[in-house]
Amino acid sequence: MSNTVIKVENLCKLYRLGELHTRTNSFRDKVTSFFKKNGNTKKIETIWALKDISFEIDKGEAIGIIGRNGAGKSTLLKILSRITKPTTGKARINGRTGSLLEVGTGFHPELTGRENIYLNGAILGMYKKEISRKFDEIVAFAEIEKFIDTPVKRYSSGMYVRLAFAVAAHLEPEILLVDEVLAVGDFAFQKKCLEKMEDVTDKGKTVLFVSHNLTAVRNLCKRTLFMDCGRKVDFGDTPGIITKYIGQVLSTKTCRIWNDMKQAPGTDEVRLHSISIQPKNGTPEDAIDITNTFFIEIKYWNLKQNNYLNPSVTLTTEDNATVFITTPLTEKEWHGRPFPRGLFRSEFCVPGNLLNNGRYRISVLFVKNQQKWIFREQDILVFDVHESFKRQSAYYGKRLGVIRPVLEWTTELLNELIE
Amino acid sequence: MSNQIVIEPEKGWIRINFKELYEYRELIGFLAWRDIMAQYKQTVFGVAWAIVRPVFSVLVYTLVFGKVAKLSSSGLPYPLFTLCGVVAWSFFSASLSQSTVSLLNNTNLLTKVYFPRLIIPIASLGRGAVDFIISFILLIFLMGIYGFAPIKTIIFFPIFLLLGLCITLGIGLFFSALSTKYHDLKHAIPFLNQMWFWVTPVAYGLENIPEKLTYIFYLNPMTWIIQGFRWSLLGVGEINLQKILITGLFSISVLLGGLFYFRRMESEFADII
Repeated sequence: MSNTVIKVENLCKLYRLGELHTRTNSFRDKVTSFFKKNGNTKKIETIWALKDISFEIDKGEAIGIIGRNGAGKSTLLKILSRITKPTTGKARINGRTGSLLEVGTGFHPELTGRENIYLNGAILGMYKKEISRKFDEIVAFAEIEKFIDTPVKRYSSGMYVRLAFAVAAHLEPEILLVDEVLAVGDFAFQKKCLEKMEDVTDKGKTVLFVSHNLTAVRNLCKRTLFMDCGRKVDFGDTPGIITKYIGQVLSTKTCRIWNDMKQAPGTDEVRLHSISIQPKNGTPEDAIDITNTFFIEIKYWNLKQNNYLNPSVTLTTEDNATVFITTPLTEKEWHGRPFPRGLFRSEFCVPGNLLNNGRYRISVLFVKNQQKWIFREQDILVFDVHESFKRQSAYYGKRLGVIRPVLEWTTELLNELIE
Repeated sequence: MSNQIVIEPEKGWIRINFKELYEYRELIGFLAWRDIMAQYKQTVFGVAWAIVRPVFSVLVYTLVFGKVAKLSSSGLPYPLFTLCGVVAWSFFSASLSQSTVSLLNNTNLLTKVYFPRLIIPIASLGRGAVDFIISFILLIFLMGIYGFAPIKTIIFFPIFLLLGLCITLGIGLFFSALSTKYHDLKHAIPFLNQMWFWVTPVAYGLENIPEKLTYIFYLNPMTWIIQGFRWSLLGVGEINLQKILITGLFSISVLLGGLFYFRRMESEFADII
């Protein structure tokens, strides 16, 4: 007896762009175009939102679905939720499905929390008896006991989202399809959502989880589907898929080369040739995570004989906070020596377990004689430092702090209290 | 293997899944209840509006058509005559407006949750149904005042009620599906309602219409529903078996047509709305 709960075979979905958001979607135009026999030559653009998607999912699996925006993840979920039909191909589903594509679908602002629980529950597919039975649990989960009889339009956005999720969380489908609901709500809410989903999989139900939160996907899902441009890129064990995703999609340039000196940043004294970043034990294409030691290397031409050059590199975060500015003060070979004309290579090493995860920008500044600016080039390179997946952490949010060093703690028992 | 659902492209005319509709029957109630609650919450008169509207219409029609224009009302007291027409007509015209926009108003449900889409236009009749019941009670009351006791033709009343429902639902389904594609249709509905009103003997008897023009009225299916109402409740008008049969056939075809057109368009709702 097959354990497959979802079997997708060559699913394709075509959208006609012209018809969808046309400003002339009116009856009057339909009638007039009927009379204009040759007036219908407006070309209708089409786009394949999904192309030849095939995969199988077994009972009790938690499957992540990751990909860029526009990869087709939500469209896939919509089709599996039966909201829209595929253009070709088919999907077989064994078991009752429940979809959470949006939090609070059908909530009416004029109705109270109590009334909306019933309404939303019915919309999601629960019977009135079922809702009544779970009513207290739902209210407790949402933590809105005091406001249950107030119209929902008076709720704060946090309360709204908690209530909406509480109702959906008490759906008991055999297959749960969740689309990025974690994007809404604060950290506490996200934690609750994920715990509930873990709960669901513990009970042997199947979960399909679309998310951009890779940590959550890593912790919840055993296998992950990676989609791009409407196609399935890969489907397999989560760690490998996530690494592939990061490598293919999240990487920004790790190397820039200017072969033509005239086009390169610089002046008639100094010209940049290249800049690259590379983890210590790896190639420039490898992703850097917070534990990796990595090198930043710059190659540059010195065009003025006997220049006392001081290159410096500045690292800034996405919020424009300066992480550090570093110069080769302690460099033994060339620091303090006059530079002959020629191509130079300077490199420095950033230790692992220093930087927090996130996106960083590199800027380069050249100074001569330790004081006079030659030129500065900002934001030459952008790179990401990724969360480490080697450490299994239960924390799903982003840790604060520009740096995230692993510091040595000591703990000792000073005085034991004996009763 | 228990309930396996196969998701695949749909083409052409699709059968109606009554079993599924039955499973989701509670949702029809909830959606209708939601519309009714939303309409009357934070209002002064609340449900009393359901009485104010027909009463006001009857007063105006009696005054304008009965007293000023001096039209005849098939031998019935004018208020009673018009109220009977108004009760039936209001349900039809209100339901037509509400069902036409029902899918548009529930775009968020259509694009985010699955349930049989037929639920939405069916539920949209809920408001009209509640108003109908209230004004029908008013009608009974008025009948009592004028001394009209129930007569044996009353057994036909449920038939006309049902046929009226069929036509209303059928046209509503058709328009609701059409308006997902052509959003401006909802603006045409008030106009349509107005014009339709004039060719239906709601506020004046058929006998007022010149011979040559009666065919316009005869072609209008609502004429027969309203005449049927008056005949079964108040005993006026000429209804024979032939007319009932034709009206019945017509109503059922309209319903079936609406249902199948809706089902055919259904798979595209989420994409084109």
